[in-house]
Amino acid sequence: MKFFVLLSMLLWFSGESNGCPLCKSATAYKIRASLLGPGMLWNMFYMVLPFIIFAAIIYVTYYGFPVNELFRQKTKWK
Amino acid sequence: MNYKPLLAAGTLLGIGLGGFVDGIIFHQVLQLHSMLSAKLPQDNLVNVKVSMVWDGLFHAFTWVATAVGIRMLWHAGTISNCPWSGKMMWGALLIGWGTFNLVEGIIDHHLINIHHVVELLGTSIYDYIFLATGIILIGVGLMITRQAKSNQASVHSLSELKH
Repeated sequence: MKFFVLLSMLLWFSGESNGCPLCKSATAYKIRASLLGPGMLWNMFYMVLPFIIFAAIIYVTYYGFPVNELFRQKTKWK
Repeated sequence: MNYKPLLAAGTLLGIGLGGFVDGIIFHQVLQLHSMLSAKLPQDNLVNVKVSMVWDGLFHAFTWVATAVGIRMLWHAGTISNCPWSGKMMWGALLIGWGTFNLVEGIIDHHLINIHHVVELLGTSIYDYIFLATGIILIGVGLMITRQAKSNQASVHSLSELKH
């Protein structure tokens, strides 16, 4: 039991184990600085971009091409 | 017969599950690449931890895709003229998985170069194999869905003849 308490305290207070993005350590500070740096919005955009295209593909599969509908409305006989 | 709800639900589920295959096998188990491994070299703890966060966000998006796919599948089950075909579902799942590999491969591996299949090699034959698997999966999925459509059409015409 004492061994596990000691081990958990060691892990808790060691700098490397406290490297979670919300922790208070030098490593965590560097992680936050890298995550929230100037490239953050671009990185987010790069990650989301394929999902925007997936959403468009599913929309077209379900509803068809919206352009076709617009074209049909414009070319309707009056 | 309205196949679109089942096809869309299956495709979205395939995209989500294909994303999980990529994330679990390549990002986590084999660790061949991570979301931003071409931008952040995976040779120190900070970069690995930052990549882990971006991988987590990627998994969150694939989870949302899967959850929305389940919701759409549930909705498809309530539509009376939507055929409840297992074959159509399998075909749509393969189309979705292939779509994930093709779109993610073209954008992330080739256009914006944020990671590659084997990061140590950069753009390599494995990136093209990844794209090829996407095309093959879409092709097989389309064949299966076409078969399912013709089977359903013949069953439908037979039942109409009986009436």
